[in-house]
Amino acid sequence: MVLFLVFALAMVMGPGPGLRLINPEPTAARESLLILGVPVIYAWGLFWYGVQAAVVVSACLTIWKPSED
Amino acid sequence: MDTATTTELGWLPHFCLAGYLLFLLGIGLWGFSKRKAGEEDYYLAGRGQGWMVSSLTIMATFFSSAAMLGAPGMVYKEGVVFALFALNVPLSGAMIYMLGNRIRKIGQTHGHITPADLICSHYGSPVALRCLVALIGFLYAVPYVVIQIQAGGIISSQLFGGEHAFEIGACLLSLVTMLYIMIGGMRSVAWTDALQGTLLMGGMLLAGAAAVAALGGPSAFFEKVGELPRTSLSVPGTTGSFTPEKLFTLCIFGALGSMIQPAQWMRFYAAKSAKALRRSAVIFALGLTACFLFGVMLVGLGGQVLYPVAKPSADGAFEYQVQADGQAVAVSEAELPGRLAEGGKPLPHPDVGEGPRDFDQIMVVVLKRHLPELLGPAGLLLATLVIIAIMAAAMSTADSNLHALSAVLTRDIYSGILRPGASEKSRLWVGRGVIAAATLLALGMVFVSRSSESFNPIGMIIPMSLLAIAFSSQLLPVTFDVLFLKRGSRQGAIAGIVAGMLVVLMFSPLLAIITGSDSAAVGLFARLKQIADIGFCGVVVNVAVFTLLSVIGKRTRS
Repeated sequence: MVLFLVFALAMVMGPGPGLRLINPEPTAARESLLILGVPVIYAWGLFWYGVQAAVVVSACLTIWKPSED
Repeated sequence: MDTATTTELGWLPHFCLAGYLLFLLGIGLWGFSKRKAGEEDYYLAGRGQGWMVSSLTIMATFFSSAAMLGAPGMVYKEGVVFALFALNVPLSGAMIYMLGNRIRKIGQTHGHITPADLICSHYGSPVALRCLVALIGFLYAVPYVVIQIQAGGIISSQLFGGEHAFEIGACLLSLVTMLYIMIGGMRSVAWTDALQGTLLMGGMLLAGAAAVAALGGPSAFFEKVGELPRTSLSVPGTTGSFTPEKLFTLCIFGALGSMIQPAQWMRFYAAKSAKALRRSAVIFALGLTACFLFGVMLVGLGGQVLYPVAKPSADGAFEYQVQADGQAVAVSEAELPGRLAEGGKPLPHPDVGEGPRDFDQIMVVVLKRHLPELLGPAGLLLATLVIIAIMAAAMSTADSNLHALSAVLTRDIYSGILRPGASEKSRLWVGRGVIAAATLLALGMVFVSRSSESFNPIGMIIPMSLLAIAFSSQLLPVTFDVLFLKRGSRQGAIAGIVAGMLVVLMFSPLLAIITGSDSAAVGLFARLKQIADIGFCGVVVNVAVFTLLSVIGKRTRS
């Protein structure tokens, strides 16, 4: 259940409405479009990809595999 | 279409492509030599696929020209926002195990071959539901095959140039694909998919590396990307199409819809064990998403720098080229939303293409021009290999869908309804006939679309793929009910699917053909399309009708 919730959170935050939290305002300074030189939207996507990947690997090791055994 | 520099790669593409196609035909013959009698072997390779072949064939079926041409094309057009669409892939990966393993188990126990076998045996509906599920399979497979054949034509015209390069490429892709499916069935399809899957994963990453290298390495790449127009670096993108809500529904239904389409469903049946699907799920979720995020999506972003869609003007604002009333006009950043609302369409850089549909060519243009520049003869070879990987992406999706369509029409319609007593031998021959007929139909649609100004059902690759996925998404409510809930009724399932499909049809070009392109209904659905994914709208109505009729049915019975 925890893994499901974390994955759902990653879907909502990564490519979903959570994007509004980091999307620069149209009037914001140009620097706000980047973080560490990378487009902030792209960096946001990479972070949530990491979360999704961690959830899938955890589910595989802790739920799927034991249920087969 | 850019054909001015088609001979840059010399004769190398001819040799590589000929070798590749001959190798595929060889695998087709190998599959034929390993065949055993019976439908289960032709359609599911005897249900014995291990994790390596399973994961590669599932990936290759999922990968299509939409991934190799459409996704970078969309990032090139819309900006970084579309790169986040890659986050649907881990969800698809999780579904391979969560849905796929249940489908595999039930399928093995009862000897199911098509999605309709499982769904109809659960609800006890031999005709109506079977026809509907088969229709969804048809509506998913045909557009997908059409798109792949079109992609074959695009690649051929980029590689070889000449007046009829598009037609020759499209015909060649169709013919070779059709032949190896007809000869070897699922075994050939899966093994060619395994080869193609490996090729195109490497191709995706290499393409991303080429785009980054062409701009002088990672630091220089992101520095130049950081100077792109504000709309390219923020949500909702250049044309304002990708709001977070729309992107969210697209990711959810893109992932789920593409995992329960007939070709993937049959791959779940064909897997040997739960372990095969578990490993496939992890490889898919981790590996494929990385190929998107670090591969093809970077090609789209780099493409915006190398071939700008917006030029900076004297006052620092950007200026776009928009096609309005058949003419290209320059439009400032501030005027762009208004022009687009009036029906204007943004245009790519002239070196990429001349029309609004040519954004999809950015991948081939970047590879063909910049890899040889960077690496000399080795770059030529790599560019050719990646372009062949794009061809592989198109063929691997086309073969899986043609093969699945053959199973669906033969088993669900021909032997399920028209001739229930048909022998296995006659069913297999009908299946091969379906493959030939569907290939010719798809090829015909590509040519008609290309030669006609008024009839163009294809458009850009991604929108067409999303329409196909929207149709297959209408199987989601019944699939979840059959596998997990087991509370729905047959009437509810039938009515829900019909309602969902009607909603999706309202979003297709059909509505404009029936009511006229400036009707109020067309306007309403166009506005809805801006808010949410088409498949999502259909599934909402589908679930509501399915639930309502199932509850009413239960109360009436009790």
